[in-house]
Formats: sequence, structure tokens, C-alpha cells
Amino acid sequence: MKKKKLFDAMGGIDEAYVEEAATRREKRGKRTLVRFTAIAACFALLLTGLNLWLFLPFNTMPPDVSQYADSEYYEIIQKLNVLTYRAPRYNNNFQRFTRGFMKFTSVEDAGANEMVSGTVDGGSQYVETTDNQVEGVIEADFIKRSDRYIYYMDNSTLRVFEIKGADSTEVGSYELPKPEESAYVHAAPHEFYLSPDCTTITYLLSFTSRNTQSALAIVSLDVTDPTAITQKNAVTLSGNYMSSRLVNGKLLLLNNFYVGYSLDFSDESTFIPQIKDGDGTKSIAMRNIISPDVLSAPRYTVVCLLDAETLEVNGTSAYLSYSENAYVSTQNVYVTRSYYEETKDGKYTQNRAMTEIAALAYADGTLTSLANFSVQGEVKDQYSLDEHEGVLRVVTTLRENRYVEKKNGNTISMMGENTVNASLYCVRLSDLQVLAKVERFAPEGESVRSVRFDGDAAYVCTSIMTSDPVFFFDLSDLSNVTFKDTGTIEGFSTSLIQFGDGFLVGIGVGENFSTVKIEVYEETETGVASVCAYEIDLADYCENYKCYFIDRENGFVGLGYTKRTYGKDTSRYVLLHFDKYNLNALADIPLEGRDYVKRGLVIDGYLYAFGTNDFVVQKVTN
Amino acid sequence: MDDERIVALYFARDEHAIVETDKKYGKYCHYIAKNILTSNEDAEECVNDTYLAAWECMPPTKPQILRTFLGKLTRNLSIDRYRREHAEKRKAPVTLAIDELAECIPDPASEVSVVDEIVLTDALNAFLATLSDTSRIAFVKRYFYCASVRDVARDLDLTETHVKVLLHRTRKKCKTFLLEKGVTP
Repeated sequence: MKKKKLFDAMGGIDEAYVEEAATRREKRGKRTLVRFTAIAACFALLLTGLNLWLFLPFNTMPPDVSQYADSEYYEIIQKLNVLTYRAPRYNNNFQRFTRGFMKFTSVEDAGANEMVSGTVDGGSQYVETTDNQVEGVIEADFIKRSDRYIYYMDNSTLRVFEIKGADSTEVGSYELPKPEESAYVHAAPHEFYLSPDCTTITYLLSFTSRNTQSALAIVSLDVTDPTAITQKNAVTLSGNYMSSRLVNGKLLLLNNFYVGYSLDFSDESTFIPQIKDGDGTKSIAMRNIISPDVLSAPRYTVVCLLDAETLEVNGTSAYLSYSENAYVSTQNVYVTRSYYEETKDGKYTQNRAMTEIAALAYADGTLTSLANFSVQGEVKDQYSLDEHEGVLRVVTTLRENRYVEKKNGNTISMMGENTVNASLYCVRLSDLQVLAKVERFAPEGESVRSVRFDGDAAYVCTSIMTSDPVFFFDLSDLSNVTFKDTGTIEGFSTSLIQFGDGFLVGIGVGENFSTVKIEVYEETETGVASVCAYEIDLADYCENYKCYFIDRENGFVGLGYTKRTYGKDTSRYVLLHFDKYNLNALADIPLEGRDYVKRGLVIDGYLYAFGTNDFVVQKVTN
Repeated sequence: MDDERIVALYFARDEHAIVETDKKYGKYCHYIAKNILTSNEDAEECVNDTYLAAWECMPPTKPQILRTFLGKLTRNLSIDRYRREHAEKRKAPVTLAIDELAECIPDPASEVSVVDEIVLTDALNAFLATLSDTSRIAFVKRYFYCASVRDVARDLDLTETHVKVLLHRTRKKCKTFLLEKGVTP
């Protein structure tokens, strides 16, 4: 069983390793004489150790941690000690082995800076390129720009292009060095920010250090002279990168720090998140750790507030619970964790999806816990949450299943039924009172595909297959929430984008899953109407909202896609223009790279498109 | 077609789900099944069984990662099939691969499952990050893809003896690593 579990766990390893192993083929070379190495003889050693191991009695109490009573982290140590301790079921290994043998069944478990010559001067002005969820709360991306330069992260190389229309060229580049010798750098490219004065780029690089701890390197670069980019400062934060924002010159980072089960409480780095800066490595202070009365998992959500230019740590806090999605308003951070609530009803088991939401205030430079509550259902992404005038609005997909387990020989099967729908909740943050809720507003079986809040309006797309309604909610009066919908239309949107003048753009799939559809909707007196749509047959696209170029003022929508043809796929970028009546393609060009790394911008009548080792400039005419 | 849409097809009981699965993951599943069963015909049947099993599992199961979900199904079904048809040959290629993994387990007789698969996979990922490229690739080829030692040696241009020693050392490292992290499968 154990071997099998390990064997199964191998199936879940990081896809990067799987791909690496699948694609690696060494060129066959001449081999010199085969060198015979010594055959390992560890089995005898194992057998010797086995005797000792079999009869040593187990300790059935959590380890004594009283020797750490003087530690400022004693409260955390006590909680983690209890949470991570697993009492043995048997007195010793011999008993465990023999009992285990009797119970055995065969039921299946289902660097270096690269310099490029060019001109040097400064005085650039920042221009936002990312379609941020909240105005003023900037999100990291693979592309940023000033009025003179475009900065694009091409795998692990930052490239700088001068904005000169058809004469635009790459004027500088910088290859990101490894943050530590022999660190394993996680998949590129790496998101970054450009400072408002356009002199500093701060990039975020996830890696696993030699001591197997996951960490995030935050590195600032001086890009005053794009031909001679140099590193300024660097900070390392332990944990896995979750999200980040740039607000008023402050960089807000959210990481998940996993503690593990075998803790050495004499070594703070094993159970307290660490920050490494110019002054060395420090543990987060106890006063900055928010610890719930009952711990749900030996993980922290670490929030770190840095000065975006100097990377000076202004504040760090850790919340003892893990998170999946993060929504950041101008004042607060909301982190979510989904879980299933299980109840028994006779022979039936019922599961209901729930989402725990923790609200933390960050605006004053410190992290303060505001509220912690749960809503029914699960959130799709950060766009499913929105804070507006002291009220948090949340759209969730309700998932409930009811089943009975049947055992047939060595096979266990589950028979039952699922119910899926969607709900909207409006929760007042001051007292967590639910001011409004619209439950099960979608046709039965439909899940939430995309959400967008815009002031007093909420737009929600749900679908079960390849047809969907888009709902427009009026949230101006929470005592009387009303909504309209499009009725059933072909396809569904995985992103909804408010486009100004009452228009809403949906990016998703068409009547079958192999069609990419960009559709514009408009609210009417009686419902919601589709204004126009643009479809690309036999194509795939990226569902990440950062992949889309959105220019509301000029009516542009751009995205990368992959055209699927038998034998050969082609990677492309399309730029559309909405003239209030139709969506027209202004450009549809080949562009190398996976869809999620492709980026496009329109500046002064030129489309600048970026992909992996690819850069295209094309004049666009309306 | 992305995985979420394929899973949605399963949930909608649309038979296109199997067509799309085959298009996207057919070769992948076949590679795993072939490594275990060695026969093309058996592998083909096993891949078809995988699709049927996926059809029966979804719903209610909603896989986080469709690829590994199908990979697991394929491996489980292939191993079952192999054991049924070759019960007397205990040291079949795949049996050997699984047996080898026992060396990685700090506490092989434990009945107490102290970690869920996510934690174990986290630990394996962290362990893999500590390895040299060659060791990591050999380990993944052998225990994820169930490739034979000969195939691993051929792909990495090493001798079979070299690969065996490499894998043995890596398994020992894995065991030590899991022990240090307190992870017991």
C-alpha cells in the first residue's frame, strides 16, 4: 500500500518535471568502457535496523516543547505542536505491522547583465498597460511601459524596446540571474512592476533553494538607462508566490508558507516565515503573526509590505491559514480558502462546497485582521469578490453532492447525484450581516464562468455546457436586488470586461469548445442583448485576464490565440476594434509563444506584439 | 481544448469528452500503458478502459489536474491488467519499479497515513528540486512513466549500470528527505 501511495503521489509531481523527463533525449555519443560500480548493499543494514525499529515503543504524547517557553513564538509552537503531531495507532512497529498485515486489502486508491548599446537619457512617464481589477491597485504583468519604452519579460530575460513605430527596436536586455547558487527557478516568465517614475523595475521570481524551501525573490533593477540595466536591491520571502499588488509606491506580496509535519522548534526557519534582506535573514515577529484560535492547516499566508523602489520592508504579517485566491481593494486584502462541509444522512454522504474568506486591512502599513467568515459555494477567482462602500459582494458556484458508496469485490464505486448552481452574497464588513443574497439564480447545473463588478452593477456568466446566460445585477438597493439576463446564447465567457458606455465584453468560447468568441453585450430595458460577436474557429486562447489588451477609450481588444489545424498549430495575435456596432479585426498576425505569454499594445496607430523570442510592429488602420 | 472544458463535457455527459481526451492525452496514456503492459494491443485496450473509467468517475469526481488524473487511471488499470495476466511473474517490469520505491519509504509498515497525497506530492516536488538534472530526469522517467532502466539509459546516454546506481542513490536520498520532512506515505 505504501509503495503504491508513493507511486501514486509521483503522478502528481510538478508538470515541469514531467515535461522535462518526457522531452529529454541525450545525443548518443561514444561511450568509453563501461565502468562497473560497486553494487549497493543496504538491504542487510535495513534488516539489522528492522529489529530495533520493530520493538521500540511509540510515544503517544505530542513532544514536550516546554523548553521553548521563553521563545516569543511559544504560542505558535504550542499550536503547531498539537496540530502537526500524529499519535500512533499502535504500541510499536511490530504490532502495527502484524495488525496492518491482517488488514491488508487490495482495494485501489482511486547574473550576468547583458549590455546592449543605445541612447541614454531619462524623464519617462508611466503608462498603465495591465487591465487592473481595482483602479489604483496595480497588478504585476509580463509587460509594462512608459511613454518611451516597452518592457517585456521574455522567459527569464527582460527586454526593453523603444517606442518608435515601424522603427522600434530592442534597445536593452537583462537576463535574470539565479537568486541563489544552485537554486531551482520555477517556470518562467516572471511578473514585474515598473515604478511610476519609470526608473525601477521590480520582478518576482519563485524558486526552491538548496535547502528545499520554496521562496520568492523580489529584485529591483535600475532601468534609468535601458542599455545598462543594473540590480539595485533584493529581498527574499519564504513560501510559494500567490499574488501581489503595487499600491501608492508600496509593494504588497502574498505568499503561502508551508510548515510541514516534522518540526524542529529550535530552528525558527522551519516553522516561522523568513525574510532575507541586506541585513540578513529574519523571522517574522510574533506580534505580526495572526493566529486563529483553531488552526486549520500548518500553513501561513504571508503578507509583506515593501517600499517598491528601495525594497525596504515596511511591514510583514503572517496569517496562520492557507489561501487560494486573493482580492485586494484599496484598503483591504481578502484571501479565500475553499473546503467541503460533509454531513451524513443515513447511508448517504452529503458534501457542500464552502469558501472561507479572511479580510485583512493593510492601508495603514500594518496588517490587521478584520473578519473571518464563510459563504456557501466556491469562488472562481479574484473577480468573484468586490468591496464597495463597506460591503463585500461575492459570487459563488454552489456545489453539492449526495452519494452512497457501494463495494463490489475490490472495487468501490460511488452512486449519487450532484447539484450545481450560482449565488450572490452581499456581506456588510462591520458586522458580517448578510444584507442581500440571491441564491440559485442560474439554471440548475450551471456553474459560474466569469464575474465582473462595476460600481452598483454585477455581471455574471454561468454555463453548463456551451450555452450560457449573462446576468446583469442591479445592486444599488441591497434590499431589492434585481437582475436581468441574456437568455440562452451560444458559448460562454471566461472573462467579462466592462467596456464603458454600458457595454460589456465577454471573452470565451463559442457554440463548441473549439471556437474562441469575443462578444459584446448591452443592457436593454427588458434584458440583456448581444450587440455583436467575433469568432475564431478551431482555436485555443488563454483564460488569464492579464493576457488581454483592453483599451476602452479607443475601443481595442487584443489577445493571443493558437489556431488548431491538423498537423500544424499556428500561434497568432488578433487585435479587434469595437465601433459601437461591430467588432472588426484590425490585425491578425503570427506571433511565437504560448498564449499566456503573448502581449500586445496599441500606441499611436501601431500594434506592438510580443511573444517568446518574437516582436512584431504593425501599423493598424481603423 | 483546455482541461476545464473537457471536464465540463464529462459532467454534461457529452461523448465528445472522450474524443477530446483522446486527442489531447491519447499518446500520453498510451505511453504509460505501453511501458507497463509492453504490448501495443493491450496498451490500446487499456487506454480505452481509461476513458471508460474517466467517464464513470466524472461526475462526481472533479479532477484538479486532468492529465495526472488520466495518468493515474492508466497506470492503475495497466497494473491491474498486468497482475491479472502475469500473476505468476512477480518481477515484471512495473512491479520492479514499484518495489524499488519501497526503498524511499521511511516507515514501510506504518498503517497510519499521516499525510495526504498533496503533502506527499509537495514533498516529492521539493525533493526533486534538490536533485541534479540527470538524477531528476532518471527518477521521473522510471517512477512516473514506468520506463525501463534500459530506456532511461538510452534516453540519457548512460549505461544501464550507471542508471541503476543513480536510481538507487536517488531512492536513498528520497528516503532521507522524507524522513527529515516527517512525511510518511
